[in-house]
Amino acid sequence: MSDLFERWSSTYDDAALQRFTYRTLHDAVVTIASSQRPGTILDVGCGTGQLTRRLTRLDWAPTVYGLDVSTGMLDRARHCGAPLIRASAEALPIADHSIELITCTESFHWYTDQRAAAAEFARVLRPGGQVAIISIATFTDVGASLLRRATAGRSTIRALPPHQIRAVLAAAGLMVHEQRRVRRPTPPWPTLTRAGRNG
Amino acid sequence: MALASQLLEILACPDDKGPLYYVEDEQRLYNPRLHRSYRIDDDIPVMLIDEATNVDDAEHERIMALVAEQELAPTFEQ
Repeated sequence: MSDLFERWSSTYDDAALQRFTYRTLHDAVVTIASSQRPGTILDVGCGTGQLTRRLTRLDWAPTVYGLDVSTGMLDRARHCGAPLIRASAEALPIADHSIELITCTESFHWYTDQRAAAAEFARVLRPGGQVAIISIATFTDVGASLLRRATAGRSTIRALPPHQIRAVLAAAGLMVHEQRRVRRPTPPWPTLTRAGRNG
Repeated sequence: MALASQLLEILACPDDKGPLYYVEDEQRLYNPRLHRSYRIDDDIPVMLIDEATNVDDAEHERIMALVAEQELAPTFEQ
């Protein structure tokens, strides 16, 4: 899978693709950040750093970290203005209770072990901290199973229906506050899930 | 270039989640509990368990001597 991202990283930032596909999603995350004004933000699966850069420019100047597993993506994120870390979402190299907001856009559906990633999110969040996940989601369990079969052997995508995303977060001790589809010009419309860690 | 201080203060071992020593001269982050060393590639710490190096006792002693000599502090207090 990491090969896929190394190849992808060279074309990932194509301006039109970026505008069409990601801008709306990043806007939704920026809205959440702006209502919470966290001092520390961890952008998990930061890719080429487009959202990371926007987060560093928020008016209250939060400390932002970008984290991704792909060298190709991180090379392109180098100038996003945030310190970068190469790591896996399932094994975060981050101290307990050190982050106020975790953003995770268009990457959760790639994780091999989504339960482990959710547990890691819960561990590194401060009490009262939140996570905003935007992920490709299927409408139903049948959809999830069809997608798995359709992509068998070619892709490792693990899109879950929204209720399963909620269940994975709840199992990690996170309380789901909000879940909705984010409309963008082109489908698939991903699901935004916002969850918090109790103080 | 040295790693940013706001990065160092949250950086933990991805395996045992404990603090690390940042040995700037050798561009490594070292976990003395697991004898495990993480490299830094062009200012980006590579915090992947699969890509870490396990060091032997002699190398562990050498790194810890360096930590003592340079009075390096762990990335955070546990």
